[in-house]
Amino acid sequence: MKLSRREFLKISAGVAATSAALPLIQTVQNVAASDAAPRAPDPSTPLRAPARATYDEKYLHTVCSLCPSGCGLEVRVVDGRAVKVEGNPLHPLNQGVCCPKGQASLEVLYSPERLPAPLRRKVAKDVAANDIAQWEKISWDDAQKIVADKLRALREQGQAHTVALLHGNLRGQLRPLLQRFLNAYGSPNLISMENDLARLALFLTQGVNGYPIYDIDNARYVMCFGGSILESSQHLQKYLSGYGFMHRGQSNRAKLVVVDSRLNVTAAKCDEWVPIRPGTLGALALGMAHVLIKSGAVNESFVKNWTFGYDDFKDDQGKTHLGFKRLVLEQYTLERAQDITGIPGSTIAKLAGEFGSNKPALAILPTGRGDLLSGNGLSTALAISALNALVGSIEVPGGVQVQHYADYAPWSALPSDAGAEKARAMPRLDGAGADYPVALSSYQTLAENLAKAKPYAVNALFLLNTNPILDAPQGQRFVDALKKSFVVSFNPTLDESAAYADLILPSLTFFEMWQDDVIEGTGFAGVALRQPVVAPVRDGRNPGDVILHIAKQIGGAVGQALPWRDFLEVVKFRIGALGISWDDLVKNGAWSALVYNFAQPGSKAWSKVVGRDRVNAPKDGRYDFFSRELFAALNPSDDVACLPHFELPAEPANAAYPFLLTCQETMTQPRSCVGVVPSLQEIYGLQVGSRWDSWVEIHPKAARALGIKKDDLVWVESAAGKIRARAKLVEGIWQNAVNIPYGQGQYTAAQWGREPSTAKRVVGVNPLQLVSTSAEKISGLAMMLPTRVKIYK
Amino acid sequence: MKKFFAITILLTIIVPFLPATPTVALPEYSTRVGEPCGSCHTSAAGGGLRSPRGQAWVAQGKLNTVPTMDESLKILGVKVTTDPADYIAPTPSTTAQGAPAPAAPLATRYERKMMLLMRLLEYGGN
Repeated sequence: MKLSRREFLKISAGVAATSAALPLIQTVQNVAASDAAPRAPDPSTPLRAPARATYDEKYLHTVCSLCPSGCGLEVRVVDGRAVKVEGNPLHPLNQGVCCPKGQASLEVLYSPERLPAPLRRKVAKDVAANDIAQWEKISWDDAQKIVADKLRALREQGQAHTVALLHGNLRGQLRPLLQRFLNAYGSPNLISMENDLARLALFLTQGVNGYPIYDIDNARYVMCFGGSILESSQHLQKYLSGYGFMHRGQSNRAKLVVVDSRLNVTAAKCDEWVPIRPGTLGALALGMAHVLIKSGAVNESFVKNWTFGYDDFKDDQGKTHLGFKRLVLEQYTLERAQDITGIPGSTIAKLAGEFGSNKPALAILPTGRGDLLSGNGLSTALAISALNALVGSIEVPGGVQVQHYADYAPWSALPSDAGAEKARAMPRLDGAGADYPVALSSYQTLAENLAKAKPYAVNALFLLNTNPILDAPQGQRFVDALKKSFVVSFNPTLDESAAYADLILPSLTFFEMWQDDVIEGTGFAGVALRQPVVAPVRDGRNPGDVILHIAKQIGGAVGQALPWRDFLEVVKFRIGALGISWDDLVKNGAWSALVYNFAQPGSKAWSKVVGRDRVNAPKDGRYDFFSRELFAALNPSDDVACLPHFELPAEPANAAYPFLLTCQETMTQPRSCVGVVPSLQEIYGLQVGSRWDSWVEIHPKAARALGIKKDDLVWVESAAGKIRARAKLVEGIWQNAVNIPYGQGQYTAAQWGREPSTAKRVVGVNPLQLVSTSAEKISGLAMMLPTRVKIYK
Repeated sequence: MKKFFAITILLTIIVPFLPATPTVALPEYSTRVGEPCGSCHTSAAGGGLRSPRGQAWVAQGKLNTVPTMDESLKILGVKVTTDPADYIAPTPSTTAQGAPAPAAPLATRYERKMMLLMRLLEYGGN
């Protein structure tokens, strides 16, 4: 077609006129459509196109368990195969988003490392059987019978207390079920490897047995003391969305300050990073408290009416006790805080001024693995918590919230069993409750205790969601312990610890089994559900089902205490009391109370947020600066033991080991018991350009002094051992600190598409081989970081 | 000239029916349901976490209307069992109930440390 110039101009003008009229026409169409269509829900306008008839497509919900956050997942299943994972939009914590771990979680489901079936060891106990050929497949009936026979025999011999279960993160009803099983059986040894310091701090001050929830969404000023809440924390997704809201969702943007020895991901995204000498966070908190008190920036009304131990006080014997105020004013001057932390006094004063004048302000305790394990961890946690009480940021919008739980159906009383009661009263293998008066567990002491049969020999040890040889300080010490006991691993892969087991009962993944999850991080109560979105890929089982089966086979009081056919029945029984529709729960994947009500001091609900779970301290609605729970447990000669204070880290300065090693978890680190996840290894050290490996972060000045260049292989050596990794020179680290990511050094049975010449069987190095195995004297927690090390090529 | 009219008329008929992005400023969902972003999001500016109404709207399949708060709670299976009055402190002028109780005397109960451990193990979370 040929157009003349005139025709071209005319057509152009016509098209331009039509385009200009287009929005008007569309508006008319919209108005017509809105007038014609009822405003009632219209099921004919779903978000997604209907599934094609040629394949069976479903979207099903489950809950991730690769980190403690517990995000809801939506899984696209096509013809019975899970093909894509996204966040569940109806889960109140993550609301449709999920982190790289969730995105990569199908690699856990279809991992070639997963064991095919229950396995019995064929070779002698003194070797690591990390080759599948060293194991024989057995049936589930046979495997469970072996365990049940062993446990029944031990119980009949009066040795029930010599059975222990060491576990990592437990979800939903599995925790109380295991506790009930061991209580009924007669063992006190349900031993956790979780980092419970923040939980302990909340209990000892506020009297609530749970993790603190920080309402950073509504805070004006947020100060993170250590850790990296946007990378690895107990409620990761809560803080990721909260961070977005505090920076973008409010008209008056809040300020985020991160205090850490390292410019971690959270520090890189905050408004102000304050570098600090490793292990001295408590001294900073107390220095800030000094400024707040001295300048009159404390919330006098809250402190006077709703706290205990701020001022000196007299007990019922007339004896005067030291209060927090006098302790801080006398002992934690700005000069002292500056000397300990290495932060200029003017900066500490400025931070305190900002914290006291921007309300609500929040001081956040880290909850990642490897955080606050410095030997003064408990006193540090108490000091950081005290800042929130000083400014009245307890149970207010933008302050510290309490996690509420749903009102599950109560467990029935255990059947009377004098033998089990006597066995339960035996001391725990890790010293919790005896050597360590307010410990939840002291798992790192277990290796030595088991090897030395202290306080008694262990006859059967179960490992669930944990791999102590990798996850514990100097985990190799567990080898001797595992060789001496009958060991049953529930882990789905042949990891370092399972290689010393007698029996492996591989668990299913969260894509293949029924399990509930307690929604945490929101403050309000909620329940989420794992469900089999695909048929089991391997011949594994839900550990809850296995425990119930074994209980039945043991019989007697144990069988009576656990009468349920399977774990799904347990979940339905417990959730049944909530009055929610099971079908809706399956369809939506989550249920929650949706709204968090803040209790005012003195209200009826105040007793649920302050003092709720106290045992030996009064439930008088007061936050304890002077921990009455600690006083009751310790009977100390010095009041300082019950007050937030600072203790120098146990390991003294040593010229032979001039550097301080820290370890921080990355977002790409899943729980070790699921094995290696290749996509996560590909992005493991994105910020330093490292993958499928570990690295050591060193300050350039220190590196220059040692003649170390970028990517040099260097040795990092402590009194306990040495490891080798590539050096990464980073300005964002305290000058005599070095950091190695936590969680690598894991054995993998698979090639993962790597070149045979470069595919190492152990991916990266494990910094926990270098750290101390000591326990903090009150809480029993591992005192492992910072560890003194030296660096050389 | 005939050619010009033919092409112009053709374009005028066809173009309005071609898929086009609305040129209004509000995001798609807000336009569709006729409510501001803050109806469904905790942030008035939209994006990020959803409010209960927003969650219910998603649960319903993102239809043309956002359920009311009462409808939303029903859709999401939430029964409000708390009494808002429980969360408000009584004013001291009307009753002494809201006044803080005096602190109880300090007591040592060293022998009860196993009881403390058992309480800590009763943790209700994951």
